[in-house]
Amino acid sequence: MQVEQQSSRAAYTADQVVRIVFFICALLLVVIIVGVFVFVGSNAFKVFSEGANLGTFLFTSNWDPTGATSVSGAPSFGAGGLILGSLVITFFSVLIATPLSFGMALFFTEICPLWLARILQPLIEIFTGMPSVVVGFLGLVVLVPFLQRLVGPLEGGSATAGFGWGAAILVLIVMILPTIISVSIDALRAVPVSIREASLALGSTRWQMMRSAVIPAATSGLATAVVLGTARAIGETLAVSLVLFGSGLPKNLFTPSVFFQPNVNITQLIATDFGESLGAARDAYFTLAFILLVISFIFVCISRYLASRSVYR
Amino acid sequence: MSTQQIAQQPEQSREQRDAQLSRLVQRLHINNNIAVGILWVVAAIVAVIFVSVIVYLLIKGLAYFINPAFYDTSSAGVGREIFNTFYVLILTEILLIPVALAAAIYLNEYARQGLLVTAIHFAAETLAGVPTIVLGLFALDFLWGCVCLKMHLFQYRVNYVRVVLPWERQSGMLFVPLLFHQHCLELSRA
Repeated sequence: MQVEQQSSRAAYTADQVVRIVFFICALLLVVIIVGVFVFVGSNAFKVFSEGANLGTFLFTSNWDPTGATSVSGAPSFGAGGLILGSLVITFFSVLIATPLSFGMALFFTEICPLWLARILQPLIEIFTGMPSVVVGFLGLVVLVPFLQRLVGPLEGGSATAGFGWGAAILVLIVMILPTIISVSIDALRAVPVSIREASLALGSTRWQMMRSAVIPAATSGLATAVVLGTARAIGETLAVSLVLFGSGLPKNLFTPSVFFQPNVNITQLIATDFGESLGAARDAYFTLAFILLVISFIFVCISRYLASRSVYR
Repeated sequence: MSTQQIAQQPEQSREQRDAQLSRLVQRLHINNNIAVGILWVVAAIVAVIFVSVIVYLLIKGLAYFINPAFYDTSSAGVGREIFNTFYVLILTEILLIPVALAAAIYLNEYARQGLLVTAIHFAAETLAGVPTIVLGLFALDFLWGCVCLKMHLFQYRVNYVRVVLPWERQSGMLFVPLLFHQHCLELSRA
């Protein structure tokens, strides 16, 4: 009797210990993310007491945090060009990738014969896990020379033609396609078969069934897919910085050729210049990182909100 | 004109109605065929992009991939880089799989579903969404400052390529397995 009691007490104590240890592990997640926010955030605002102000930081485009190119040696913190770069690249890549992904996801769930699905499934999975540096490297050795030949005359035979937003957008499309496709496929699969059957039983064609039954039922899931793709696109570093190759905005910003000249975005500049920066310049890069952090946080919030609204999961 | 509208026109003769209905059906089928055709084309484009990347890598890389000299550990080969990649990967997994698994088990088996669990899920999702470069900065400045890695890495400070890029990758990997917790959740449910 006593032995039994002892062993059950020991089991209880062990359970409590494990519970606490496991709880600490779970809490670690919260601690890390709060730590990242606090640390990056605390460094992000230093730059505004070191010669930058919020207006010029966000809306002017002369990024020279060390003052290397100015005559007086005064640093200039205009991150507008970088932010514009990130926004343009992200916007266009999502704009092009979304219809392609939705088409692929619809094809995969509604039309695709089984034997083809067996081939496509691993293909999509491989690309979801593809390291960005591989795609970026392919962009650098295949895409950039190709674009250079294509648009060379437009740029007056410049040696660096082909780098820039255009190449970055194409690379990003390849990067975010699998993300959007796989989340969309999940969203479409979550729509119950009964909805499809009901639609078909009313005499719909397959396209009518997709358009007026399946897609409306999966809207919030599809929106989540786009949001996640956007979040991935805006934070993408290596692939993009390999094909951007610039150090500032090009001069002729409002002509089509701007897409094929060396250019900048937020992540590329952090990756190339942060390691060598000191003092105020270093803080300025933290401000950029904080902007990225806040943007990605907002996207996570949006995707959670959309997911909470979806009827089928 | 929809089916209902056609049905609601009693004054028309039966033949006219039949003709209209068959036109409608024909149009719907044409629309359907066009849409399905477009979906096939889109899927083909996407598949061609994916396949061409893989085929290109195979054509360009296979010769090196099967050549033992390529994996040489001298500066002529990539043996050291490959070793480092797996070294970091395996160390990270060893450190993080128990932690991630424990967190997942706690969330499913111990915790009462409530605010705290929501907060932890939210933290995990946010962490998964943070751009790797931001985590890289965090790792570079914060972890570097407080962990004993300081001495070990100091000599590499000179060259960003050897600091920021590997650190980006490493810290990315350091956090990525936290994603495992989603899979672990599934596991623990099973």
